[in-house]
Amino acid sequence: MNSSCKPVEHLSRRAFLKGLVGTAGGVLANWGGLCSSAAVADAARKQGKRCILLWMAGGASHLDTFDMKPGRAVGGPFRPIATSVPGTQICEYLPHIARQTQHLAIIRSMCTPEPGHAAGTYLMHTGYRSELGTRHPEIGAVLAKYLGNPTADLPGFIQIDTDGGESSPIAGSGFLGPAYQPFRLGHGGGLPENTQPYLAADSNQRRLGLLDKLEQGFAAEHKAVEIDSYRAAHEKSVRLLRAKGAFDLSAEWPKYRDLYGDTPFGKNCLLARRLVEAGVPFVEVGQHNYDSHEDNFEWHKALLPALDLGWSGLIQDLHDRGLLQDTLIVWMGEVGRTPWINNRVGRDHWVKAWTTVLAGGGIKGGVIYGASNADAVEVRDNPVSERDFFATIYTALGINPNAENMAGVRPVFLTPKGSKAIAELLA
Amino acid sequence: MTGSINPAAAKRLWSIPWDAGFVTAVSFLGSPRKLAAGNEHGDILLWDLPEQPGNEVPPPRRLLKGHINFVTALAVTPDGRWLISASYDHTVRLWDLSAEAEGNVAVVMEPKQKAQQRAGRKPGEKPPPVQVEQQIEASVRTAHGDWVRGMSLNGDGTRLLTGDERGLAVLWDIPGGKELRRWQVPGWLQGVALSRDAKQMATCEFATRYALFKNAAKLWDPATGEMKADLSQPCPRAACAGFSPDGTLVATGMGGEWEPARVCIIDVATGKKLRELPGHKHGVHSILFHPDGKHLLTSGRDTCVRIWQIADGKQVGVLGQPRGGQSSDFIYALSLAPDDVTLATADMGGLVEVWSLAG
Repeated sequence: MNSSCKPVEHLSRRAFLKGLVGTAGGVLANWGGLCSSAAVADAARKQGKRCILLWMAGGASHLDTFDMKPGRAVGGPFRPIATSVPGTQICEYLPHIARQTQHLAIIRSMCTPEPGHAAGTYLMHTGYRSELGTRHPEIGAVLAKYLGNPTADLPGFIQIDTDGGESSPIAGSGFLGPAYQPFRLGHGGGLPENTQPYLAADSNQRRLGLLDKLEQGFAAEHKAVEIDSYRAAHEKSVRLLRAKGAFDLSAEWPKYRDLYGDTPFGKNCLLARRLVEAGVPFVEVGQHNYDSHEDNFEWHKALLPALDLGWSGLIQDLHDRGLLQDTLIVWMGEVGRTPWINNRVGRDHWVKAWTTVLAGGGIKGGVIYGASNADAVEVRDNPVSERDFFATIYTALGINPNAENMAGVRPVFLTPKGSKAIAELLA
Repeated sequence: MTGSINPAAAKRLWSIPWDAGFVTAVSFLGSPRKLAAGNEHGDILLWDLPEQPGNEVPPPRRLLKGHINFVTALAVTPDGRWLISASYDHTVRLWDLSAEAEGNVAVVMEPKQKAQQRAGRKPGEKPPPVQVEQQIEASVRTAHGDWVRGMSLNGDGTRLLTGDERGLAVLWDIPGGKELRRWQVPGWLQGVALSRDAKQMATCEFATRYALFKNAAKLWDPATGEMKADLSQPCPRAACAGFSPDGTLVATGMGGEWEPARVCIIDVATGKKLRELPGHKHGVHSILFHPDGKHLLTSGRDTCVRIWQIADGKQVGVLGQPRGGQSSDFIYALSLAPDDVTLATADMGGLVEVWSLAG
């Protein structure tokens, strides 16, 4: 067995079955992965890849961003502009992104099965449809497991400003267990107030040492998953406080304000860059209020400038630091929006043809993949399912999407069976 | 001469379907029988209405082709010669209505499925087009760098105020089109109003949600360019405004889907709110003082035109009725003909409607 596997991963299927804890009609997850999974993680970690997900909560309109239909009745009032890739046009309100299009792979043929916010958010964070009795891990948890350094002080899975009602990701680490739960930051991206120690550093250290000693004794006498989970969470918190300087933007913000845009989203994008630079394998940054059932164009017009600067600044900054080739940026929400403009000048949910964008690590830039039909009602060429989309992401990050983890007694692939990475998008 | 209105006895004269897109702007052209309307695609159509209303829908006469995006406002000089239009295409255009047409063009008035079904056509079967004259604009004004949402012409048609979503307001000389003054505000200018004597102006900075500025309403002196009063407190979330004929009152209407959307009447001299008119279920899109100085007409997202008595704030008439659902089709704009009793509405649902308020 590979020596880098954690003890919990050194378990055969039989050991898992033996170790299951039966409860009243239910089964506690065993928080484990199969050994093949550890080997996959070892291989992936060596590549040093990172991922930043820009989550458009509510579902941004593809017709008003990356799949415009000028001249059609469904087109709306926004106009396309040229980009750095000849022949590729995007929305006029993304001028900075237009200058970075050589780094983008725009998938205009997403076709997914979940038109609702909650189910769509689950789907587009896990690659799986929600099923009774199984909580799949979000992509962040998967990447924390496969790309993260278990001894790092910073969490491997960080979500910034992702609390968006029904569009909030909630699956967390799912059956991968509490070690990969997300560390969540609020709207402003700052650490919670209780992260300020009220003791001097040496006193704090002594106190923590004493606590550890007491808990070791307790844990030795009382074997329980909950105790281990608690101790793991506490240890993570202590380590996080050691590394909290990574969350402090005060020194860098004046220099980067113009590049990222002076908005909360821009700040959060800079924070994401700092965190991946510090070794965090996955950071998700939310931007909210794309659920534009009313006044779709005004809402998008208000939101896109912050997205434009934040995202383009992130690409530029990562590129300038030589990090872009190892950092995959994913832009998506849970749904697209209807081609038809409703009688509140809004667009409703639409998942039969919509758009996501990949950029950076492991992805071929300057690519348009797939196409919707004339009015973006259906996919015309190369439909992309959520499973193939996730398989592409994992493959780009050096992770075999067929790696298995145990959900209770059941082995589950990282992406559903039959998923296939899209070769045309991979660098 | 001011015609007196009888809101309780108002009746619909014409209902003209034009569902090629949302109908977004409307204006009479110096006569209750001449009408213009604009739509979301940038088209402007002109109609000559018959003397007597009848069952047959009058066909359009002329297409004004120039804008390439949403027409947000139409205004006409009192002599009926110059039509002025504002658009999301960042331009303000002047159209000489005395000019000859430049050929003919076919337009389809009802391409949507509903209309096809009404006409008994099979799905996909195109309705017959209507042949109309075509005209291009006399001049284009390009001072704006964003959607021009607000436009207001003064009483004698010599001053025009326009406002865009970069917060630029411009005062123009008409018909020459010379720029006289410009203002810059932080927010998106969705509504602007110029008093009849062009001595007062109001601006409404508004976004439905999520923009990075505070909604605001302000009164200005066009002669000096100075702000006279900040109405943001008494008139929250104002998206449109209009002055009374004597310039002593300004009314503002709440935009967006706020419930209820209130109309506020402000004393221009003091900046104080005199009255608040609840009634529109959702946002207000258009505000028009009747020349009699006693009535105010408003329209919005509840598919209704509401007529108010200024003296006591009482709603004395409602044209149309909510179509159900949440803000089902907006009445984007209103225009009152020179006879002061003929009203036109621009209905997002694909209709231009003409009403008699004389009863």
